[in-house]
Formats: sequence, structure tokens, C-alpha cells
Amino acid sequence: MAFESCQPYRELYTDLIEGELESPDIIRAEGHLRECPACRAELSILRGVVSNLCEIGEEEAPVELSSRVMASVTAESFGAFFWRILGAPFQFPAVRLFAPVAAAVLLLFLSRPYLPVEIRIANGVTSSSSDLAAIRPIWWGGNVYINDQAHPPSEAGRVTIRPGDSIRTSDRVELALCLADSTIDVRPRTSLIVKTDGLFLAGGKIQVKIEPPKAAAGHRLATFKVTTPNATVVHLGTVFGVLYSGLTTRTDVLEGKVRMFGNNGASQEIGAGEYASVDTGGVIQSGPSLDLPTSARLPRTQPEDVREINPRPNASSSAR
Amino acid sequence: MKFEEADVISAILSGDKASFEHLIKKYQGKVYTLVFRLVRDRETALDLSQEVFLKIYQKLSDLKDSGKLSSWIMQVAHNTSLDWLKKRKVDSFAADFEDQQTQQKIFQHLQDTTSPSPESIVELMSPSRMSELVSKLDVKYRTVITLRFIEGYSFKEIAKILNLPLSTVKFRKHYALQLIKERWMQIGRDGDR
Repeated sequence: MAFESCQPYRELYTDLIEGELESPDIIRAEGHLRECPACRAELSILRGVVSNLCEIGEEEAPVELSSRVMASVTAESFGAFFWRILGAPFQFPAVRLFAPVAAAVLLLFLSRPYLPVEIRIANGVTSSSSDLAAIRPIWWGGNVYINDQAHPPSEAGRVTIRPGDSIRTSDRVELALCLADSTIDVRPRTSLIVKTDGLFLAGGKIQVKIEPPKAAAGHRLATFKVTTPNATVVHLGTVFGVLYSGLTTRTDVLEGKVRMFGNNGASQEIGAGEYASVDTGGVIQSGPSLDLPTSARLPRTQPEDVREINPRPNASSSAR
Repeated sequence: MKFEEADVISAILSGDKASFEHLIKKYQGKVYTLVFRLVRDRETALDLSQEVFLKIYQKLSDLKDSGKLSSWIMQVAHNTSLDWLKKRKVDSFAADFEDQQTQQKIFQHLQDTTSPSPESIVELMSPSRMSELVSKLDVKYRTVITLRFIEGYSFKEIAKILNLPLSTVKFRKHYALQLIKERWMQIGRDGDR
């Protein structure tokens, strides 16, 4: 049998295998197959191909996919909520009229240099006196547990936390720790311990915004770092998020850069728009970040707010 | 529990995160499989699958017909993967359907009574070796083979997902199966030497 004479039939075989042929074509194809051993061989091999393809089966999605998506969705919702609240007043014409003036005043206010505060030396590193020494957290949405004691949203801004205190957020709570030059947003279902030089993240997710260095040095949290059971993340003037899932620590950087250290000593610098994750074996993987959409960025911390909620260590902080 | 698309969509749109998590659990296997088959890298597939579900969450209100949820999700997964491939310009496997002469050689090989029998050729096949061959196909054939044989979508559904005429989908399937068969035969021939 010549190759050319078989060609029209060969085009029918893949549909024949899948039952996609109309009756007249089935009769034609079967008639030819009875006479042509080469086409019978071809059909048999094609059947083998299809049968093996069907056995490949779907891939199993990685277990962290769902939690990563939900974390992104939560960040997205937080951003949308923030902008909805921020945008609400603009529906009034009077607000729209005075908005440019207000923006100019705010710009002037924000461009003022930071007032110097106490400087202390810790481990040879100069840092601000406000380094997590005494913070009055603000939150909304639900209870925050400080040293396992429940505090409702009505106590936001009135309780004081200090190094060594543990903080746990319940579902739907948004908690902000505002410092002189940074804001730490603690997401729902997150547990952490406040340390003198940063935070220990026992589980959950935080997002950190550290303002770039100002003219008055001393205002930066020079030693600020986030540690987890298997990694340490050190900021280098940054906005970044850290997620500890119980197995891996993942850091996504929005602005600036951070350095992440695995417990085995390996380290990696992560730039804006990148992420890196450390697994239980200390292996670091990195790539482009798809987490933490820009809408989830934290609001800028106001210097006045900071002074109010973050008193100097010798100031009274009896509202605990 | 029965998954009623319309109910789940309205629950998600009203802010019910648990319903969205339910939707992720239902479709994550199919989305991850298609993305992984297209980009051929597990870490990238994970990142892109995350991006797919985030897009679905953001644009769910645009979906007018809840009956099209499944094909819409797969459409987002397909487009997201293609965008990534275009940006990276990494799809190096061009459509390389062998020429007529090579096909004729294979045909003669099938006619040759001294060649291994079709049964013995099929016996050497395995899903994992087929999977390797699929991963070497051009992306447009890889997509159709994945959706049809690995994920079990009908030709009509694939046509919707890829926004192509039914005849084009069927042609790509036919073409892709011929390519895989041809490559398998080449492996067999090279093995004979």
C-alpha cells in the first residue's frame, strides 16, 4: 500500500480513537484498516499514545498555594478598605475644593525635619531610643492578645507593650505598631514576640515599612530585624512583608531591600519586587514577587502620631 | 457538598473569604496543572497560579454567566501563562512537525515486517515518558493536549478557553498526537540502532 493512498485515512484515526467520527467516515476508515497493516499499526500506536496521555493525570497543587492566595486577598482587602475610607470624604464638593490646599499643607508638614530624640548605643550600633522600648499599638476589627490577655479594640492606643511581650491577633484584626520611623502591620492570626531589636515572628504575616534615612540620623531603627524559627530578615531601608507558615519563611519586598539569613548561615539580599523563601533545611529560593500588591502599602506614619503613641522610656506608661 | 457556582460567586462578591477558599480548593489542581504544563517550572507555576487566583478574585464581578466559571478560570490561567512566556521569551520549542519525507520513512518502518511490532512499541510507552514528550511540544499543542487528555475538557470547552474555532482545536489535537507518535517512533528507531 502506498503512503499517499493511506494519507486521507491517517487523518481520521485520532478522531476515530476518541469517538469523534461521523458514521460515513467510520465506515471508510474501518474499510481501509481491514486492508492496510501499516495503518492498523499506526492506529494501534496512536491508541497507545492517547491511553498513556490520559494516564498522566493532573498535577497536585502545592499545599501553600491556597494560603498564599488568601494572604494576598487579605492584603488586597486591607488596601481596598484603606482607600475606601480615605476616599469617602471626597464625595463632598467642599472637600474636593479644599483638598489641594490641604494636600499642600500636609506636604509642608511632612517635609519638616524630624525632631531629634534620645540616642542610645546597643551592641555598638547607634539607634533611636524609640526602638520598640514602649509601644502603644493601635488596632481595629477584633481582639488582640497581649501576653495571652484579650484586649478589645476600645483599648487600642491605650495599652503599652514592651520587649519580651507576646502579641497574638485574632481573625479579622488589623494591628499597627507605630515607631519613630516605621510602621509594622500585623495581619490576622499572627503571633509574635517584641524584642529590643525587632520582632520574633512565631507564625502568620507582618508587613514592615521603614522610612528612608532622614537628615537627623538616629531616627532609623538601625538594628531592626524580623526573626522566625528558621530565618532572620534585616532591613536595609525598606517596605517588606514576612510570612512564616510553620515550615517556610517568605519575605516579599515592595521597596528598598532586605537581607534574609537562613539558620544554616546562607543569606540573600532581596530587592524591590522580589521575594525569597527559606525552608526548614535553610535552603533559600528567590524570584519575582507576586505578593503584597501596591494597594496594600501601609499609610505613612505621622511624626506627631508617633510622639503621641510612642512616649520616651522615662515617660509615664501606666495604661497597660 | 455540591458546588453551586452561582451561589459561590455571589458569596465571594459579598465578601465571604471562605467561599473563595472553597473555589481555590476546587480549581487549584486544574489551574496549577495547566500553568505548570505551559511554563514547565514548578516554582513559577506556583507564583503564576497565585496570580491567576488573585486576578479571579479581583475580576469576578466581571463574569456575567456563572455557568462559564470553569472555562473563565482556565482562560485566565492560560492567558497569564502565555503573558509570562511572552515576557520571558522562553518558549524555545518551535512547532517542528517533521517533513513529509520523515513521515514517509516512519510509514515504511511500520510496513517493514522486520521492525518491532506495534504492540512492542506501545509496551515501551509510559505516562512519564509521554509527559516528557508533551513538554517538548510547542506551547499551542501542549495546551490542547493538556486540556484534552490530562485535564479531560471537551473540545467545545477547550475552544471556549482558548477562544478558538472548534476546527482549529481539533486540528491542533490531531497535529500534536501525530508529533508525539512521530517522536516516539524516532526514539524506537534510534533505540534499534
